[in-house]
Amino acid sequence: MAVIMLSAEHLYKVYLEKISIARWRKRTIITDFSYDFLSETRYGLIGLSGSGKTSLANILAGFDRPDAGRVLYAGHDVKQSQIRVRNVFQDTYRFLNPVNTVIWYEKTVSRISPDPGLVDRILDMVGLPVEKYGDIYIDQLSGGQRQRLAFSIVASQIPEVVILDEPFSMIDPANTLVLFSIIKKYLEKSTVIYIDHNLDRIAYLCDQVIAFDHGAVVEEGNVMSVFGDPKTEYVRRMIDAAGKLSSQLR
Amino acid sequence: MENRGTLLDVNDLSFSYSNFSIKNIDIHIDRGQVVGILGITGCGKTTLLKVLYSGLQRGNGHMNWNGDYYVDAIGRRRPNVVYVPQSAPDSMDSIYSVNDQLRKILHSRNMDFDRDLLKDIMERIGRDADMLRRKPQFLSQGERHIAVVVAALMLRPSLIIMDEPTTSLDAVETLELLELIRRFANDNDTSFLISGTSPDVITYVSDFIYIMLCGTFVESSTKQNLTGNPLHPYTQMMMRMRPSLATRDLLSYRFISECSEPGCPYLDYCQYAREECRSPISMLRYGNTDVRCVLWR
Repeated sequence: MAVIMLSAEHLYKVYLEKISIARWRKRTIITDFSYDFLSETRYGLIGLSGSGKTSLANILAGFDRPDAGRVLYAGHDVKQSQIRVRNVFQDTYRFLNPVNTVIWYEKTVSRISPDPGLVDRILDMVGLPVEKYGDIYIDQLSGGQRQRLAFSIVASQIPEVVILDEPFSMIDPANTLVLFSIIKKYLEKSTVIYIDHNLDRIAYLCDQVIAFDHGAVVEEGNVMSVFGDPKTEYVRRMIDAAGKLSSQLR
Repeated sequence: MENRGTLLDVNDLSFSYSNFSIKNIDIHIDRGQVVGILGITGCGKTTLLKVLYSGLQRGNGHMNWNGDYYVDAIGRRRPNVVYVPQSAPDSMDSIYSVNDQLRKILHSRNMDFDRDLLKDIMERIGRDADMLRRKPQFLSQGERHIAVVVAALMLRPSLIIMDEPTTSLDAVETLELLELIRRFANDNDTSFLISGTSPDVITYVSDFIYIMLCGTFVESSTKQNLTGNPLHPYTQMMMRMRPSLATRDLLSYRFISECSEPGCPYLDYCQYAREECRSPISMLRYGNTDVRCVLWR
């Protein structure tokens, strides 16, 4: 039974942009965004770069504050909320401390996870087995390895809401399939909000698609209907471009 | 496409760090050809491109260069090659306008700032030259990428080496950048060497593709051969295992990251693996494709 896990109500976000030494200009990033995110559903946010996807993800995760509007977690304000909300950023150094080791994260996570053995299993699956990588500092891992570690830390806690903001940008398509399979297997009860500029990955993973342009929702619906028959020119342009890119592969 | 003469020939190039090595690299690039290097993350693509660039700059016995030369600040003759690192668009200076930075790059190669050439290039891209008067932080990510390519083209090089040029771009910007690369390769006889992890980008832009795994090439052929009939199991896997709407039911729980030595690097993951795969395998010719796999012996 799907319930509303996360609801955004009339979110606005405005940034000030410097245009000369002493003058600023207001730039609206998000205008009147309202949406109810259900559990057991995977949402994909699509949009060209600069359309406000990352700002929205930061606000939903509580990492940034909206200028107006509010975000409710399972019907409660953030202070009364009991559910676990986790996010993975594109820039993994935002939450991985370079002087910690992989085993430190593994121990810490297994202490707070509902399934203590899960983190080991996921680390094995993503190619970072603790026996081999345990003593390595975060600093010494490559970008892709850090992204895999960050994802494993988040996924193994089985949070109710997961917000993924281009989490696999440094991982090749063949191997992202492994990470997506983990999402499909272990996080099927959760609300997953996935952001990527690569439409193929959204099409593979998500059930619902929300198209974003300059902070406003231009189109939303089931993944099959949006990708099969886009209603707006904006979405059609993106899907055509993605289709043309992969045209050489049959 | 017609043969316009060899630009670069690399024979049996090897290089090693303390924990990683690339070995037995053979690359052949024609004039005006776009050559792609496709491989998973961590397979040595960036290392290879860096080795190629510095090898060309300093001279290396395994490389044979037939392209143009430029004269650097202290009068040395150098092959006219440009290397565009993956992070180049993010590393532009936010204090100066793009135009000023272009001028600086040209100055470092003893070249004059050719306004007409810039105008010509921008016209052919179909963009306004005023775009380059702005500072990099006021350009979008796609525009920054294009600015970097324009900077590279302004040097009139014979070869442009690009390391994963499309990682942070959305589909529309990617397509625009790739069209730009194709157009300049066709019209100007500028060759491109492009690395990447995603099969769709590489197959879209390249004429000839090298498939890389664990620091060595496992297959090389024309685009048509590789998309129509990939031979190596690793290539087949890369072409098939792509997340997309059509493959929604495909699941995989095995991450490909380890290399097996000294035999076939793909041994641990290969469904056709057999005993003879454990010893080193040399490149074989099968049809028009070079492949490093015993299946096609």
